[in-house]
Amino acid sequence: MLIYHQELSRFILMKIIKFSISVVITLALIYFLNNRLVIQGNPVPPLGKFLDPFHGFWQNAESDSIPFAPLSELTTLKDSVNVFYDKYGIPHIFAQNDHDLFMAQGFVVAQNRLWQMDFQSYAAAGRISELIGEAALDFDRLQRRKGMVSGARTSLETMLKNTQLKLFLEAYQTGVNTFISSLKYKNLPLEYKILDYEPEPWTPLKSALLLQYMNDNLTGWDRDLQNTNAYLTLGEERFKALFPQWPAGIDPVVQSPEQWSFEAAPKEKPDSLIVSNTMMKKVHPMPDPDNGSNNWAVAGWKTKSGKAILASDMHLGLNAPSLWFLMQLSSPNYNVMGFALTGNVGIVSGFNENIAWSFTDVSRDERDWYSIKFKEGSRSEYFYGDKTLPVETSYEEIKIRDSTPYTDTILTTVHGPIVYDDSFLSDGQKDYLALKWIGHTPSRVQDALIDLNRASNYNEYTEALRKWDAPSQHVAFASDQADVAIRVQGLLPNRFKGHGRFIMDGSDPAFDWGEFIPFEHYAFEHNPPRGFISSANQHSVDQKYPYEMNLHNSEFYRNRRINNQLNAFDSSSITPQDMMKLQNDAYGIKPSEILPVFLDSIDKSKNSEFMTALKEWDYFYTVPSKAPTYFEVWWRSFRNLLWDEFIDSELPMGRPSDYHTIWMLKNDFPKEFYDHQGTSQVESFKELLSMSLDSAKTKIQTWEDKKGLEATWGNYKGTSIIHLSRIPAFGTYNIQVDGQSKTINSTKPNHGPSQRLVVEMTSPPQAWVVLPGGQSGNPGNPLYENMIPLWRDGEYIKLNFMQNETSENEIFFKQTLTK
Amino acid sequence: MKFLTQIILIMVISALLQIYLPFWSTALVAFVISVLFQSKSGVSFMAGFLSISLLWFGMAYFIDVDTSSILTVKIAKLFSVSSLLLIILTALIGGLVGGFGALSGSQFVHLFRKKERNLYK
Repeated sequence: MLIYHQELSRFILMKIIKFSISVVITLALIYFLNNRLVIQGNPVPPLGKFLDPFHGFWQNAESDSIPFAPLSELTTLKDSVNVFYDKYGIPHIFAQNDHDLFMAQGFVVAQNRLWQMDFQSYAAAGRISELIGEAALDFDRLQRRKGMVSGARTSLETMLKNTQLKLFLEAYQTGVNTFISSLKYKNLPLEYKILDYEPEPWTPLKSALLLQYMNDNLTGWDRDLQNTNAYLTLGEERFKALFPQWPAGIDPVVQSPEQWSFEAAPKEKPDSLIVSNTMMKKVHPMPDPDNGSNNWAVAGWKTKSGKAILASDMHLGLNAPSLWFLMQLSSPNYNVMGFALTGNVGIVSGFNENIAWSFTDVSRDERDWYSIKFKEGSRSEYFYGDKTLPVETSYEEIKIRDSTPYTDTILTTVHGPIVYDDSFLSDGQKDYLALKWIGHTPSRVQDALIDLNRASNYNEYTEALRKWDAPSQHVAFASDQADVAIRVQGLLPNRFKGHGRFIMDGSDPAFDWGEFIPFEHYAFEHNPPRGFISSANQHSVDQKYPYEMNLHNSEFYRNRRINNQLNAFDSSSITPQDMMKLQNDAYGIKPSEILPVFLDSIDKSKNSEFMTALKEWDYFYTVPSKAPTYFEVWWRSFRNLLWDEFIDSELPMGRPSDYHTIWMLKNDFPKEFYDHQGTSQVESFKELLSMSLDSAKTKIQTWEDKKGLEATWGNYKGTSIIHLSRIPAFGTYNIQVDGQSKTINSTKPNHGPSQRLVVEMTSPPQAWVVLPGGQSGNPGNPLYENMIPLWRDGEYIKLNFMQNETSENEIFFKQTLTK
Repeated sequence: MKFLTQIILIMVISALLQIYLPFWSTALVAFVISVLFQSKSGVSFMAGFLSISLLWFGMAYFIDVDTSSILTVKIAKLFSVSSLLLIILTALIGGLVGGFGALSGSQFVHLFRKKERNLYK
């Protein structure tokens, strides 16, 4: 019996062990399949959850382009709202009151673009490390140090003081959150499943952060550090000659009248040196300097229909999902259509029954750097005027996925937060630079936009723009009264000459930003005699304008092409189709101004296919042609040899603009720069040309061999649209689109027109648009990238600007939001 | 026949439960069915594996065809595999969950079954 018992218990034990092993394996398997893994530094989504065809990514694949419920509950609505979708997925929202309109807008935008708006709000707030880990830490620290969040908070406070706007922002928030709370894992946007996290509730602060994000995109670029290095290296005279504020032959947005009707408010220039003796070895990453746009509007007498026409295309990073979301918003107070930013109330650029408006960036200096001198041995007090002031210390906790949080210490001065210090971007230096940025000032642009959305004439447009502070924009306008206008709009400190071009001495109050230029002194044009207004990030004004503008990175080519073309049209001739064609124009003024000089100067024995192609080139950057590649590579090689003193410098110095370089080459070039530093002799212009030609040919040959492609302009430029989280499979690559960054169709590798709009101010207005992507934010939806071929080929879709709910033609799907 | 019934039952019940419950519910279903059918371990595992992998393969394949592979190709690229392999990978993962769920069920039954032949040795 004893043996029996022993054997039995051993037998039972065996069974228990077997069962346990089996259960443990099953549970462990489920655990691993239910959680994100990091394999050799690469995150892998939770495989079981993700691949499960009932809930995982498969559920994000959509055969139906508008896969929404016909009836959705939004219990906080006052009345039912109807949303009509056309076949492009453009929603037309019809609400009975404004509260419901913006609540529905929040819901509908989230329904289409939730992940994008949420992710961008994380990026704006410097919280990307929370999602992807340590790799984003420097990015996040920079965002926090620049004051992205504190600036957004200040702006939000101002917004919420406007009771109407507060109502709209909160309604929008409820709309987004109602959508979020309807989600289960199964219908979470795809990117949440891949990165394995969940959407967090929307807040009005996130709306403010998104505006701040755009503000940073357009004003977050300056050359103050490089200018300082160049100035201190070259000396004042050379610096001025190479980096003039007013190069010859500019074509500004607004031409000065004979006499400006005002005198500039006084601004004293201090006796002290305007450049701080601070040379920085590192410059933090900045937005693309080509972030900019084209817009123009032609008056009724220039057009065939007699109605004004407005055209707009905004050049930004080309990302998927598309930056802009097309929609129509209609209530008893609003009937407006155009491009919305995902996360903001109303339409940013578009038209209503009476007016159309659009933006281009004003390329002027909206950020300055102040060198801070601390009291010896301390980092708590710094010199300012004849006294010392205490710094404000704050701590920013940055959460990091799969790691412990990082706490950054941010010191704030009278000028603003210290961005560069010995713990960030210092490269061993002990310099402290504080940032003064227009983004720290409370912004009322959301308020201005809402007013623009329902402005009905020129006066209301001007009134709405009183609240437009930052980013500074050229705001183009056209109305059903056949008139056109443009304003150089936005806060700019009243500067003395040279103020803010360099790092300034933070201890001298004479360099502070004082008063802003008063609104009444802004430059503008209303129905100018030439019959059109236009802007393309060139100089806003000419030298006669009474204020110091501190313009930088100005455009010199797109603007001239636009103006030349618009001037060439006869009166009563322009059609919307002409404007669409002009938006896609790929003519390069730059090669037309320098290539003949190159070809004349080059040794004639260098004849080759290369030279023949260039001689026959018509200066259009078309994709099948090789000449644009030849020119661009040759020009860049030449420029790099010419400005090698700048490019190879250990200290970042920038380099003179192409425009001014070409002007100098044709007029009066400082010969010492012809010297190539790598050789013992002093080169001549011809020698540099010949050296750069050889190097260009080698570069192109190497490129062709490496890629296995012909170096046509389309291939060589390689325009791509990249997913916001950089997942290659969700982007589109090697898009064969005409143009170059300095042509009207301003396209480069990952940058170009983020939208195009042409609107004719008939009653009701007619509009044509295109996006480099589509309406849907879901990579698994047919409307995610459906417009890319249209965008590439210069084609447009015509918008259906619905005049009332019963005009249901061309409606593909109707969604009713009920309370 | 019993084997086939077992497979079909796991498939059908899993498909229904998955409308409400996450992917691991398939392990539960396979466990319970395995307990009821009292098959041998190997047989149970195969039943669990085949049923869920077939179910997931079928569903993934249906979605792939229905959506003209719009997302399959993108996710396949993300995983550096072909579309077909992605569907097979999906089936394999489901199969493992179902298989081990069923195996555990069969081991659970064994706990209570007396080992008749050896009992009075």
